Order: sequence, then C-alpha cells, then structure tokens
Amino acid sequence: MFKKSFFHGITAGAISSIFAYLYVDILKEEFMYDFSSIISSTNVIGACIFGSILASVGFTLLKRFLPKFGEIIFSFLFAGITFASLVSPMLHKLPLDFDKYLTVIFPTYAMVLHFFPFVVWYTLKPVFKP
Amino acid sequence: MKKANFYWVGAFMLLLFSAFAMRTNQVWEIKDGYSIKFISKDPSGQFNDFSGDIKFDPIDLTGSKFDLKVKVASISTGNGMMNKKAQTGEWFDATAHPFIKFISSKITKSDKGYDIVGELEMKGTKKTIKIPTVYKQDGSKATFSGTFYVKRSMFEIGHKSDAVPDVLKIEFNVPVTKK
Repeated sequence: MFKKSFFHGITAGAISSIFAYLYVDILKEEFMYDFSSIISSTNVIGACIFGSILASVGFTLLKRFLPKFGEIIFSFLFAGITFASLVSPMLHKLPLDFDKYLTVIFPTYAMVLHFFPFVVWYTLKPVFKP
Repeated sequence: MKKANFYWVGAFMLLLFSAFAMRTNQVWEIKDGYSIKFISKDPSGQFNDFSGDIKFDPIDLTGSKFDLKVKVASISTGNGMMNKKAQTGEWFDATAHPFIKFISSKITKSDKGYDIVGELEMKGTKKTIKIPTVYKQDGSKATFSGTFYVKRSMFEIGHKSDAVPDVLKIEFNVPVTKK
C-alpha cells in the first residue's frame, strides 16, 4: 500500500510540475507575466513534488491509523491546507521597485499554482487506488 | 585722472553685482534615484513619485524654501492589495487628496545639519512638523537626507490598529543638481 501511495505521490508531483511549469512559461511568454525573479522554476517543481509526496504520506498514515475515517479526514485536511496556503501569496511582499502592474497580478497568479498538486493528486487517485 | 575714475567706478559696479549674485538663492533640481521610505513593523514601503521646488543656500537660510509633493498613488509596499488599500478613503484617500505636500516656513542650522520646519499636508490635514536634514554638497551636486517620524492618527490616516503602528518612521534621501 505504501509503495503504491508513494508512486502515486511521485507521479502526481511530476505531472503537476509539468503543468505548473507550462502555466508559468505560457504566462511569461504570452502575457509578459515574468515572476522568475520571485519564484524560480526549481521552486515551483520542488513545491509540486514535495506537496504531492507529502499528501501521499499523509493519506497512507491516516488510512493506516484511522481505517474508517482516515480518507474523509485526509480529503478535508488536503483541501483545507490547500485553501489555507492561499494566504501566503496574498501576504507576500515583492521588492519595492517591482513592476506595479505585476505586483497587483501576483497573488492571483501564485494562488492558481497552489491548486496544481491537489487537482493532479485527486485526478490520479483512481488510477493508483492507494 | 578721468581714466582712473572710470576704473574705480567699474570696480565698484563689479563688487555691487557680485554681492547681489551671492544673495541670489540656489535653485536645485531633484534628480532620479531619490528615496522616500516609510518604515514600521508592518507596513513598510516607499513612494516612487516625488517632485517639487528646492531653493536652498546654506548662507541664506531665510531665502531658502522647500515646496515638495509626493504622489499618493505611487505608494509601494511590495503587495498589490496593500497598495490599493492604502489609497482608499480609510487611509490616504488618493482620489480626493492625490498628493502629500510639504512647504517649508523656516530653516535653521542644527548640530547635524539643518532643521526644516514647515507644513505637512496629508489627506487634507495640515500640521507643522520639523524635519532634521543632513545636507551634503559636492560642487554642483548635493544630497538632502534625514529621518523623521509621522503620527498617522494626527492626519486621520487609517484607524486605530494593533497591526499598523501609529508612528511611522520616514527616511529620505534626495539627490539634487544645481539648475
């Protein structure tokens, strides 16, 4: 079960990284939303992989120790943490000389990225049946 | 004899004009690279649009004058939402009062530089404040810098809050060149 769950996390992390990278790249190339000096591609990929693996570890542990309600608790916990994490881009302070327009765009731009691991992890759940 | 008189009159006129020239106050132009920062526990930031007229001569302080303004909409806290919030009626009210203004009324020499006393106008409220300023001149260039404190409740900016302190530290550094 743990092996399946781990592969689920790794795959979700890899796929969400690809989508997140594409999202960052398309917005940069097409709309000039360049936040590379604030969030590097490495950080985006790293956060997606870390978040997805952490979700799988949490899921496995909750199912093992709380077989009846573990999955339900995990769903609420994962969704709750994802939503709570949206506060971080809202409060994030950019350099004072950063482009004024991009400073306004930044929270929305970054908030979308926070949903990638959550969406991909749940999309792949029926495939891996962890 | 007549020629000698002519030279004396010429010398006297030259002296007279140079005396008037010395009394003419120096006019300075604000250069790019200035910084007007406000610092507190939270928020901190800067204003990016600053302009005005500066007449300053260390040997003629009575004839010196500062007439400065800062564009409220140029506020930068590093957070887009905070920038917008700062411009609302609750805070600076940028629509009704687009500029923070300062007009000096008296300049005196102090231990570290100069004390510029004048009227600071924010959100339509005028208060007399003293700005201690360090003045450094290097030929046709000079810099005015200093630190002072502003109590935002005196200008009815924002509401009482534990999150945003009442007193904010203002740091400025203004490079200028002779006009």
